[in-house]
Amino acid sequence: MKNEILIVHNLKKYFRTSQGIVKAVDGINFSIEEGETFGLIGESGSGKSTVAYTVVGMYKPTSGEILYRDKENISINSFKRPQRLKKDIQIVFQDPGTSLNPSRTIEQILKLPLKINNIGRNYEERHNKIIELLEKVQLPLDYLYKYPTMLGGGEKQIVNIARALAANPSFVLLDEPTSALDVSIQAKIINMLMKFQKELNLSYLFITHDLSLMRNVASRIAIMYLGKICEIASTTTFFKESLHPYTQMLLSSIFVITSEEEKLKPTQIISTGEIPSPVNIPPGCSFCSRCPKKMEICGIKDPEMLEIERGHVVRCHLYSK
Amino acid sequence: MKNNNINFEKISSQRNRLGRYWYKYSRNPLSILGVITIFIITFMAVSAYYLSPYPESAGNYINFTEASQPPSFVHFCGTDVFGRDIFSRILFGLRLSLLMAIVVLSLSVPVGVFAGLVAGYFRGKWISLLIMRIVDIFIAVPTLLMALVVCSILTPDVFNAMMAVSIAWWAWYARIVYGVVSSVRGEFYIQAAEVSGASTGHILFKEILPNCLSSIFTKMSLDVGSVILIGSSLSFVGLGAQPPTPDLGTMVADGAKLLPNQWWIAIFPACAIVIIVLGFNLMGDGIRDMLGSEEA
Amino acid sequence: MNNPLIEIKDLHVYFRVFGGTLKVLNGVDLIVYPGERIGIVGEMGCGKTTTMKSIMRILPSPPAIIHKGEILFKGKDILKMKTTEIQEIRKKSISMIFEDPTAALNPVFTIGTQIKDVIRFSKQFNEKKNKKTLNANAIQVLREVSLPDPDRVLQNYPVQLSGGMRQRVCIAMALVSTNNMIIADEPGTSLDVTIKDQIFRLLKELVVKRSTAIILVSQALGEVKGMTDRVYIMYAGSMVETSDTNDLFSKPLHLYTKGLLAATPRLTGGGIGEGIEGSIPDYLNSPIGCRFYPRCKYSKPLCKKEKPPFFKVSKGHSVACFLFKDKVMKGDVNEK
Repeated sequence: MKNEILIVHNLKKYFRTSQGIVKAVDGINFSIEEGETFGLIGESGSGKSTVAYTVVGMYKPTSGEILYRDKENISINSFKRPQRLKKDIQIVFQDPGTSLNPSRTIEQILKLPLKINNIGRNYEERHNKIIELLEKVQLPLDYLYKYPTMLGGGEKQIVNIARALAANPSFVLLDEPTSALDVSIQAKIINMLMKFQKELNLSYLFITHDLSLMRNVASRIAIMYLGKICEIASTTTFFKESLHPYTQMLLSSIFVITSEEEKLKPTQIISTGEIPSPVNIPPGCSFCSRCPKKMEICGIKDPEMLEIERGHVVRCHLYSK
Repeated sequence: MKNNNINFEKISSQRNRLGRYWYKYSRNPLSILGVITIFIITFMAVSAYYLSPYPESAGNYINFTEASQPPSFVHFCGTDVFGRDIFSRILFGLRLSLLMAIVVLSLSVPVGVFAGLVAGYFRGKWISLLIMRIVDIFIAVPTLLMALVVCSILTPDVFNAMMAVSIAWWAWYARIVYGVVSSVRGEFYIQAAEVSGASTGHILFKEILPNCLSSIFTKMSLDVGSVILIGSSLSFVGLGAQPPTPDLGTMVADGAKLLPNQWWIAIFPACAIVIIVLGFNLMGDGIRDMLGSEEA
Repeated sequence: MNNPLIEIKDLHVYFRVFGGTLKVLNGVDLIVYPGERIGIVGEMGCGKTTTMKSIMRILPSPPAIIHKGEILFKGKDILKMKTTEIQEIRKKSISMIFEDPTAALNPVFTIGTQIKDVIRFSKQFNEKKNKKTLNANAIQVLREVSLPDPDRVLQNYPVQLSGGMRQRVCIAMALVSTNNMIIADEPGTSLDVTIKDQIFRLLKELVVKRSTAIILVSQALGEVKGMTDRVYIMYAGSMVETSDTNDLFSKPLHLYTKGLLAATPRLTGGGIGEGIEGSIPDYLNSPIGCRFYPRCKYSKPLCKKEKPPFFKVSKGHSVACFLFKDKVMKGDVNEK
């Protein structure tokens, strides 16, 4: 049995705002095995980015536990974590434009993780390591002294990835790494990420809203809506035998380009309604305002997560018996 | 070899960056005028000793035969009541004004920037509140008033005048930097540095500070004019440079009593003040346009 | 066939910046017939938004220069029209929906104010313009885009609406008086998947109902598939392929098109194809000849010297590539 690198148990993160309490993440459970790519899908307000930020330590969880490598409780802010944990868990942010400091050169940006983690004993060694990194991500060497504003979006994101990998991590959170990029650059970056995963035995938590992309990237997928997980399944099960109505609504909304793909889309559920504001979530199931299969109990009681078969859990009253 | 090529890239990329800055700066002809004015003034101030036709006029010099001469080819700006050549005194006065600007900004800017960085980064914590309340107090008192008060407590001389203005000035930089830091604080690249484990010092000085530099430099260049004016105002009321040290403000004060008959004694130093302040303001506007649009 | 509504002929648009001139558009050709639904697919930086803004004449003119070319609207060149004529076109004939609905709506005015302004200037509804009729017209317009509770929406500020609702408002404003054509510049980019689906279906329904032509600009091939009759693929400042939508997906010809299709992730799985090697050319030092040349596996020396014109390979399907110079070699060229 493979090791589990990350176990999240009943994680909650609430924010206090002027309009009330926002339950960004409201009790989620999942685990990631070493070396796998675990996908997290959701639209805006689902809380998927909040999950990533909490795991990496930008936020402290309101309650719940995050266990790293089965022993360490890392449900604390990154300032309190030991350096080796910060080195081991890295994050690539969504917007390449704002994740690189515009006043620093690429060389300075890549040097920082090396310096913090004492990789390379002197300037020479670190410089060589940076050159090695650039070659690995196939960026030309003269980019060393450029500023991020001189790079295209795809190249900036490649620098972000290089920065994440510079510290030799084990676990990388990828928060919509290619959402802001063209399709052809996305292909290049995704293939690069997959290659690195194999070479360096990395584990990924891959977040995106693009289902077609997720199909080709993740081995297991969790779908989130308004702070809760609706369904977790292996990729093949997710796309062939999804159970939750929201999953099916999402699948039926995507744009595809071939007729084989059209056949895979569930046609019975058409997307309706708006995503409600996460501030005042009504009682019962958070999806019931838009759910075409809603029953009376859905407006009263929030369903529990049920295991339908091994590895496939779903949170819906339709399957409650 | 690889390394040689990379060093070449480093230099050419920096040159490229400077080139782009100059392009943006030179879009406005007035900014060019500002830079030229500043060059000329600085040159004149630095080589005051060599340029001035009567360098002794800057010191204790009395020559009543030459006193109160109107402008002529012999004395470009005329002479004052003691017979001292006003043009020479203006050149030395420029020196003093520029020196005052340099000293005041060298003292107040680092203190203000540091305070602003700390207050902005630790926003919400007690240290930030404390700093910003102190800043508020210093800003609430008008600069000239504060300088007057400090100067009149201590012995009036140039050095104390500079100290007084510095004390009044740092708070503005703290406030500007606080604003920039507060907005930059939430950017992803700062979060990335934090979760990687960068030290607070690194984040403040290497990540955040470079992003504040454009605001700081813009304000500094616009401030030179203001500092010179305040310095001149202090001298005007007798609290800055003491006679016989030539100072533009003092010269205007002395000459003001003699208007309109010996008009040249007050007008030429006053024009000098106007030109310096105007020059720095034009340059400051140009810097603001150049750095402000540095988005791409 | 009837006369084209919009015809762009050999449009060249340059931008003057530090370091030289960005020759962004170097010969765009485009035809839209009345009532047609056209898609333009291209990646970031290819010039699609610049082209659309040229049609609407909203390019910022000091950096942008129209070097050459014509944009004919019903036979008259838009680029040579006076401001008053352009304003008439913008009021009555063509309107544009932008990528980011938040940026397209003024945050300090209510939705009601903004829609009523559009209605008032459009002179579409011919009744007297007093408060009551304006209000009724505004509500009618909002109902058409399926906005729930239009009364409340009129009182709201843009910040109080969700992204999808804002885009619906923008569509409503665009449709108030437009008779001839809508330009939709990546309308779904800032929206969630399920909301994007709703917006696209709404847009399709509305343009079909009113027989308005639409140019749908997008980065993703999937978005244009269900929405359009004809597609243009744009690369680095000019069109490289155009065909009926179904033909493009079943028989792509240009190597760039094929590369895009291969790189698009499929729901059926199987990994993602390789991206296209290389990157878009530097517009400051743009090469003469085919701009795809550096990235093309099958390039010939001719490609470097001359920009390929459109070669008609089959009915409705043209491609700008010298590989298809002899019409006879219709399908076999790709295999080498």
